[in-house]
Amino acid sequence: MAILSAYVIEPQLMFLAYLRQILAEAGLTVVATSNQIDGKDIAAHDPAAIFVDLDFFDRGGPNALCKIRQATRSAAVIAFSSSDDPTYAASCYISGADAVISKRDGEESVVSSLRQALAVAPSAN
Amino acid sequence: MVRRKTVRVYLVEPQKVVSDAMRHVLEQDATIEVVGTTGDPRSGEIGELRPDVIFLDTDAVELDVEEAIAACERSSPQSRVCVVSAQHRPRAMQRALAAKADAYVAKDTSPATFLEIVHLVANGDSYADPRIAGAMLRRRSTRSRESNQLSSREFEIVRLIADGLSNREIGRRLMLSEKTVKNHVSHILAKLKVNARSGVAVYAIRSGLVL
Repeated sequence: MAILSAYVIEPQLMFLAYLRQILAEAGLTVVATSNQIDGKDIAAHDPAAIFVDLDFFDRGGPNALCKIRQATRSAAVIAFSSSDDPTYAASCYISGADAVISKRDGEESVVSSLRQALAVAPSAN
Repeated sequence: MVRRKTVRVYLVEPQKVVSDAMRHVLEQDATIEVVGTTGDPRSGEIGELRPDVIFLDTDAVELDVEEAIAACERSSPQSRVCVVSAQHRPRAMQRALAAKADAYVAKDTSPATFLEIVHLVANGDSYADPRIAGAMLRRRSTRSRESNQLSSREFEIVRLIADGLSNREIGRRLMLSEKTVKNHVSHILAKLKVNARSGVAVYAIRSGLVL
């Protein structure tokens, strides 16, 4: 499996430490992390995949995803959220997410969702 | 070397992958044991296991912060309750501490600090994230009966303690020697009847010394 570069936007540092491990298991290496959406930094790293925790953005996930999409069109964008609401997930997909993963799932399910998302995302192939 | 007593921790965290992450970080410390997890603070398991410390994610549980803390307290009255939240708003911290949480920890706290907080709280001290507590103390608008026991200089030092400054840093800021600051801190702890400096900010918020 090829090693892919990942950019992670995750203010929760406990989760970030663990996420690095999960991503490594899924064949990704984290090239940069941030606690906010910085379009210039994302463009400079040109990652294959971006992981963003939508729970930390006051104006909601769709707005955060639009900002990410303004910075990169090619990266696979994978969003984490505590929400299980399908309507919310749909609005995230419309705003540019390639996958929306629930944080209510366990590690196995998260890794499996990541693999599926990366398999269908154009930049990751 | 002083051997620390093992601290038994329970996680109230409905987000399974976040609870896995917390367990992963906490168990890197050989003196911390995660004894269980649940998504519901009303779980009977808390009462059965009687952990030393409960971490409660108030952003993710379905109850409001007061109800969630009360549920933990009812199940296991001797457990210390640490609220974990993404909220940096002073009001959120104030609500949690007023509801008798023993600590308020922001989610962007580093894993190393998280581990320190577990031992601090298990030892009977309190903790309020200094970034939020400091802002609250700077916004002080009233002086309560307790705060009137403090001199202006002592109150100034309370604010700087809440900001997370050491005695040396406070001394530099106020142009005082470290020893003088240490004396002031001893007087403050005695007047507020708290055991450790980490409890000063919590006491100040909980007692209404600040709004």
